[in-house]
Amino acid sequence: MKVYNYIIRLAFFLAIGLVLTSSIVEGDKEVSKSVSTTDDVVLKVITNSPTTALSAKALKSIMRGEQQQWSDGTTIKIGLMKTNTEVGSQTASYIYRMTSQGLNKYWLGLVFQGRAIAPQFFSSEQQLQEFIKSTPGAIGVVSHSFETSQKVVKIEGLPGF
Amino acid sequence: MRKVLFVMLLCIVSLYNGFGQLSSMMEETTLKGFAHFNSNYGFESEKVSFEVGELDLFFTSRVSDKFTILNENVIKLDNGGSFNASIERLIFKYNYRGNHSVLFGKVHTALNYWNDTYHHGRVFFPTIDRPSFFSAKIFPIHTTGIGLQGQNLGDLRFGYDVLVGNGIGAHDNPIDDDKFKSVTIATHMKPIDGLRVGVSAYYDQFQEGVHRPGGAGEVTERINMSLYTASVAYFGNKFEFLSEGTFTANSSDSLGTNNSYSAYAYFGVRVKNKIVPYTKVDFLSFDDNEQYYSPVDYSSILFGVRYDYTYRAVFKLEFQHTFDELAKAGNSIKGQIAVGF
Repeated sequence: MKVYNYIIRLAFFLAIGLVLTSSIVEGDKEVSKSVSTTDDVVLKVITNSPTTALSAKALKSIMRGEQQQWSDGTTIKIGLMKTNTEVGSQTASYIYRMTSQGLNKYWLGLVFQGRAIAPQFFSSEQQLQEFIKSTPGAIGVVSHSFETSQKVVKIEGLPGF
Repeated sequence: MRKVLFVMLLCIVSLYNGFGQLSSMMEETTLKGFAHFNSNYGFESEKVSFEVGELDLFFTSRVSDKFTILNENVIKLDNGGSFNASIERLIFKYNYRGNHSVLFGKVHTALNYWNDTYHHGRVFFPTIDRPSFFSAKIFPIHTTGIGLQGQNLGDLRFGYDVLVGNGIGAHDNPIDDDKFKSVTIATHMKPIDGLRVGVSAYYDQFQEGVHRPGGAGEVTERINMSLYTASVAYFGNKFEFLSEGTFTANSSDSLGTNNSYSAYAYFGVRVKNKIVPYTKVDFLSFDDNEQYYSPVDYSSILFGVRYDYTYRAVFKLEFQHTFDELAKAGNSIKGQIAVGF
């Protein structure tokens, strides 16, 4: 009988979890909308890889460290502007749907779990461009107004690009 | 031996910080640290205590595009003023295809969300302390062995960990104490951002003489352990929820099969950008004839608030009510400062 009591208790915890999670996820969707974004084109993606176009989903997957290799097997290396810069803050909002602090914590946590190598963060877009240029497989985000000699990746279906 | 290890750690840190060229030699090597400070007031003891927590030094290095190393070392003070230094994780990881890797070394057993995600970094913990199934040693926190890992596979971002290791009998010794190996199989999926749902199983067999947790003596005969867990975790911009349950069946020839259960649920709401009030309930329950765990039933409830000063500095304050079969009811107020640097 004791077995059934505790199975019920465990099931109760997990069931409450699923119900709460499904409802709070809906609530969080509303909160995510409040992360400041506009319809203007403010960012662009540059790369040192054969890629010429990415869907919004593919870009997010790469930038979150979920897709870690290009289709040819080359390791993806991410370059980002520091989150205390305007471009870095916009990158957090448009791609990650996070605050700047949230983005920093996300990467610190992911690296601590051993599931990804952290992006390189830069203070200037010129430095970021140099990193992309000298690193095969690299991808990064710069402001739309930044004049670049690197290949610009076409992003489909993501506001801000 | 511990002091030698400590000195070696200091040397590594000194080298790393003292010679700038080392970082360029070791491509993409990073060092991070985590530390925390606790204070505690017990209503029954009417005593305030202060505690310097663990100092956690954490290295990652990309040796090549496919090969990475992760190392986590913890130094903590013991009673009597001595200290304890330990290698908590040393993982050699080779990415052989796509998001699939093979791992060698000492890992945090990927049996549950908390152990697989937070490790020793208090700055990541949503509460001050780990759930009670850590202190009761319900599952092996570490495993030394060989494993396969996959992550973010398909639209549901499916992940798996399969690990063969030395098992509980080896404790944290460098080599195994018997011929049996533990097997861990863990899977999870992340269907939407912030949500992770996982299940796992663990099987181990250990011999007489293995120390039981909680000073309950030694195991007197061979035990087969089967352990199963399930977890739901959601950490969004406003809401946080984490619940995990564990079921263990320990069996031996003379005492048959005894079942143990543990579970906790955490819920938090970000009311301002940096402030998260939260609550957690937690329980452990053991069979009276339990032959491995220290069979003391336990339950607790806590209410707390977390202030995320920055992503690397967090303050927490909690009131906790606990009940266990030996110490009966207890109340305490705890505070913590946790930082990453």
